[in-house]
Amino acid sequence: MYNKELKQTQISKTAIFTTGSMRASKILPSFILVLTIFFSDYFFNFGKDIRIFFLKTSQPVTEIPIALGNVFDRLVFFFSSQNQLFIEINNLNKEIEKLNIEIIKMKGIENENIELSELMNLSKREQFSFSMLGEIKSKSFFPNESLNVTTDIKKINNDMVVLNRNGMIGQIDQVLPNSVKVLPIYKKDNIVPAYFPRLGLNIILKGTGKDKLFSIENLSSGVNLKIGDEIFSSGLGGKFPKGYLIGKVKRISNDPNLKFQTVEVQSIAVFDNGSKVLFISP
Amino acid sequence: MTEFLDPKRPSFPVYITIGLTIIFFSFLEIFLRTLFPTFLNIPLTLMCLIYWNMALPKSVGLTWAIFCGFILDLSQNLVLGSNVMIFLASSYLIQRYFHRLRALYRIQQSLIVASMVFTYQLIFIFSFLNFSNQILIEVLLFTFISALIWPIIFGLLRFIRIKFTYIS
Repeated sequence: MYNKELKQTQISKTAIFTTGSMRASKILPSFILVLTIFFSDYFFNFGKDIRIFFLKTSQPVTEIPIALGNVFDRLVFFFSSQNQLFIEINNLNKEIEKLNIEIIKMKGIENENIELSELMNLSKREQFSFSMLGEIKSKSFFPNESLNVTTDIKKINNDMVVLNRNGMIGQIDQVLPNSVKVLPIYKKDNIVPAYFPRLGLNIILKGTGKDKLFSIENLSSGVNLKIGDEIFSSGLGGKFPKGYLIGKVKRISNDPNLKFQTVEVQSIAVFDNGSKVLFISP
Repeated sequence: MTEFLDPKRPSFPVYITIGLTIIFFSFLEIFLRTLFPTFLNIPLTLMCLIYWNMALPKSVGLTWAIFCGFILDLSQNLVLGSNVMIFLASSYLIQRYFHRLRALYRIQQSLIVASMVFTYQLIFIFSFLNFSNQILIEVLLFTFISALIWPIIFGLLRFIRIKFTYIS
């Protein structure tokens, strides 16, 4: 050890006065060349294309550390308490989602119960000769609106009228093996006896099959109607119960040269509302 | 002075060994620069050049300094020649005084390398006119790290030089 250090010291003593063969004159041409390149690039930016080419070709090399950095971050994150929190938050979020679904289900059940209770109250209040609950199985929308309702079909007949919580909505079209097909009250050519409370006038409504509209049959042009007049079921004929709001006057075309006026009535029936219906015989 | 005593490997010239290690260190420097996006970093290429200029001044020449300087300029998006001038100046100084540097203890060499790294980084800071507390901390930190890793680089390159260049 001592000898090694002694040798080192001796070398240092001799080397301290020695210089290499490198002289400034050797490096000068290279230095001038580099200076020329430096100033040319600085003032004329001639290395722009070379730089772009180099950055493009070295892109894979420069992307490796980024990818490694990402992997490292993910690993650190995986083993960190932050990750535990993240997992916990995820689990809690899933639980919240489940609870939300439960809440939606409960709300649905609550709505059904309210609907059911309203229909039962309606049934008790009105004292129909016969009433029966049914559950909507499927719905078809405009222009071929219909409901498929499951109920005890043995007690059902084709003359029954269908109500939901909003009022009278339709009537039975067909009694199928396990269900009943219900068509809307405003279906084409359906006749509903009605009256104007304001005028005390009985009329006949006829379904047009267009956009929940009725037309009034044979209404004399002398009858003074107003837009928005309410029309109720009259109960005449015994098919439809009395006193249910059917619709409101939407359009009146009164030509003085004609004997009858043309009136369009907008139905208030919300055919696809709710999940329960009541079949009644007035 | 193994370079004069031991026979050289004919299939693997010294010049290529030097070139490969310098290129490797350049890419390592670019790699680390991308991994740690600081304004400055450890100048591994410069340290590699210092080693070869000190160990084999006759073999290293100036071409590799110019070549790697340009690679670093391009990778750092600097004006062409910025690194090259520093590398040339360093090569000149090391080749001029390599006898004295070789004779120094490793810790003394580390201090010399640290001072060169410090100067190298200061030149960059001055040329960019970028002064902030963070950059000053980076200068000191990377200078210190460079001094610390110099013995490792020295040992590694010495091992490569002996292993791949000479027939033992």
